Amino acid sequence: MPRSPAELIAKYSKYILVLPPLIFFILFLLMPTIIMLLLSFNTGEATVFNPSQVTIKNFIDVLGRPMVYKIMRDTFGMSLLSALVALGIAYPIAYLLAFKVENPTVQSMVLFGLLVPYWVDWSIRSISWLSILGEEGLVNYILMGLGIIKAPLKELLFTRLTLVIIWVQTNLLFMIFPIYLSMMKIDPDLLNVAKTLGASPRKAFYNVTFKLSLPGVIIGVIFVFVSTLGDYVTPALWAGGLQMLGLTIQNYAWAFRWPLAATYSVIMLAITVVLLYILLKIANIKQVFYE
Amino acid sequence: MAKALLVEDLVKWYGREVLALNKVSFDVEQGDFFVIIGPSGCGKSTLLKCVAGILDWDDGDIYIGGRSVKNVPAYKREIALMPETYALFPHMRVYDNVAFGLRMHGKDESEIKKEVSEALKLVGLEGFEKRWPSELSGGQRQRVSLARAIVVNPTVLLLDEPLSHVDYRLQRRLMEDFKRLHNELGNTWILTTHVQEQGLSMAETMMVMNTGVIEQIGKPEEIYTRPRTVFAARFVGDINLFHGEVTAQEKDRCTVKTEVGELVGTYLGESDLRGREVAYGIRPEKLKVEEERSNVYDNIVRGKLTGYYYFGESMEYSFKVSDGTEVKVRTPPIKLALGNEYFLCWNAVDGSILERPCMVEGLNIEDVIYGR
Repeated sequence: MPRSPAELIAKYSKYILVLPPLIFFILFLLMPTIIMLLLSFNTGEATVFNPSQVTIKNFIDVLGRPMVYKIMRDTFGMSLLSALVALGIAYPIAYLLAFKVENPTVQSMVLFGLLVPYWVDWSIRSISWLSILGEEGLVNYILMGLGIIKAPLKELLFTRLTLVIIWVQTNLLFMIFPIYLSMMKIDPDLLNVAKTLGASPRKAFYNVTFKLSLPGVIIGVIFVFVSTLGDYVTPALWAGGLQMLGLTIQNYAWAFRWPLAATYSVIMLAITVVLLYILLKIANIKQVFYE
Repeated sequence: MAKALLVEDLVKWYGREVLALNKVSFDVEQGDFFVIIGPSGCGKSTLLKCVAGILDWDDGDIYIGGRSVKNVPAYKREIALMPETYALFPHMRVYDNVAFGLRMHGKDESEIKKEVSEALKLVGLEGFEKRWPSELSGGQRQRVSLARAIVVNPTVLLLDEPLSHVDYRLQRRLMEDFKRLHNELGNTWILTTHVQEQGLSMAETMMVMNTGVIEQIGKPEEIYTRPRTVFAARFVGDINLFHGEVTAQEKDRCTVKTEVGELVGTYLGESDLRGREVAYGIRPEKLKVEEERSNVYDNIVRGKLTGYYYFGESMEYSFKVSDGTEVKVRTPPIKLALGNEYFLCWNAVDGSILERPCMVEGLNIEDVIYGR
C-alpha cells in the first residue's frame, strides 16, 4: 500500500529520534574501535587497513617480549591499587554523608565542596602538586613542623606513590558519588528490620548496608580503574619514568607505527573487558543496572 | 505470668516542639491481639518504634516479658517487626529473607530450612523460596514480610499499619489470615491501624490513641458501645451527638437536658456529673424510626427526613431535628417519605454519656479526625 511521506515519518518517528546519537556512537566509537582492531592485524607503518596482508605477527611479537609483562603488571597494578585506595577513602565518606549527616543542606554543601577542585584547570592542578609534594612543599613542611621527620621526604615526587596520590585525588569524586547514591537508595526500614530480627549493628551493616552498596562500589571501582588506565599523561609527568601501556601506545602512535600501537591497544582492551566482566559478575549485573 | 508488654509513663519528644508520646502507660497480656488505633500523627507508630528499639525515648520505661528494655538494643529484645513498607531485603531471595532472623540467631542450616518452609507454608507461599522480592505482588511481599517476622518466634510481634497498602478485598482476607495465624502461634501481636473496621474486627484488646495520649483501652465491643470520650466514640464508628447539662444521675442512668429535650443515657464512670456539660451519643443503628409516638422507648426525638444513602445491606437516613442538627439512622431499607416528620426512638441503655470531648485539653477533634 502506498504511503505518504508524512505517514512514514509518523510511523518511524521513534526510530528517527534515536538516529543522531546512534550515528554519533557508530562514527566516533564503534568505527575507530573496528579500525583499530583491523589495523592490529597489519604490520609496519600502515595507516589504512590492507586485507591482503592480514597477519598475527604483531601479537606474537608483542606477547613474546618479557618487557611487556612488566609494563602490563605496572599499568593494571597501579590502576587497581589507586582504585582500591580511593575506595578505602571514599567509602567512609559516602557512608557518613548518606547515614550520619541528616541535614540535607549540609549534605549538599559537602557534595558541592567535593566538586570545587574540579573548577581549577587541569594543568594548574598538575603543577600545584609541586608545591604540595615537593621537598619544600606543604606535606614536608607540616611533617617537619610536627617533628615527625627530620629531613624532607624525597619519595613524595616522581615515584609510584606520587602517581597513586594524584590518581586518588583526581578520581575520588567518581568513587564517592556512586557509593553515596547506592546508599541513599537503601530503605532505613531494612536496617530496622534487620536489627529487630537479631542482627547486631556489625552484622546489620555487613548484610544490609554493605551488600546493598556493593553495586555502587563496583561502579566506582570501574570508573576509577578505567579512567586511570587510559591516563598516560599523569604517569609521564609524575611517575618518574615508570613505563605504562598508555605511554607505550602513545610512543608507537607518534612514531607512525600504528599497527603496533593498535596491537597494544587491543591487548589492553581485551584485558580490561575481561576485568570489567569479572567485576560486574561479582556485583550481579542485574542489580547494578536495575534495583 | 509476666505481661508480654508493659509501658510505663512513656514520654517521647521530637525536637523541642513536638510531644509525640505524653506519659503513655498500658500493658498487654501474653497471647493478646492488641490493636492500637488512631489517626495519623497520634503517636502509634512512634510507640511501636520505641518498643521495637528503633527509637529512643525521653522518659518512662518499657518492659518486654517482664524485662526492662531501656538499655537493651533492638537485636536483643525478642521482638520482630513488620514495617508498613514490608521492607524485604531486595538483594535476597524469599528463602533468604525469611531465613535472615534465624541466621542472625545462629541456628544451623538444616533447622533453618525446616523452619523457613514451615513459615512459608503458614502464610501460604510454598514454592516461592527462589523468587526475588521484585517478582512478587504487593500481597505476596506482605506475606513474606510476615513469615520473616513470625519465623523467629518473637515474644511480641509488632505490625506497623500492615494493611494500609493493600486493596479492600485483600485486606479482608489478610485480616482473617492474621487472626488464624495469631490463634495458631499463640504469641502476642501488636498492630497499629487508622482504619476502624480493622481495629474492631481483629483486636482482642483495642487502644484508641489521640495526639500522644491514650483515649481508651478495652475490648472492641466495649469501646464501641461504651465510649468514654467523643473522640473514641467517633474514631471507631459513626455516632449522633447532642450536647447538654446533666440534670439527674442515678446509678448508671443519667438525664441530660439538651435542646431537643431531656435524654436518658448510660454512664458507667465514677464521676458525679450533675450540673456538668457533657455530650450525649447514640449510634445510628440503635435508632428506631416510628410514625406514631410510642411509650415503649426511653427517648423520643422528632425529626424530618432530609436525605438517604444506599449501602446495599442497609440504608442511612438523615433527619433534621428541632435544634437543626442532623441525626443519622442506619437500618435495613424501610419505606419512608422525604420531607415527612417521624419519631426517632431509642432506649437509655443504648445512649452513652461522653464525659469530655477527648483526653487532650483544648484540642479540636475535627482537626485530628479529618487531618489538618
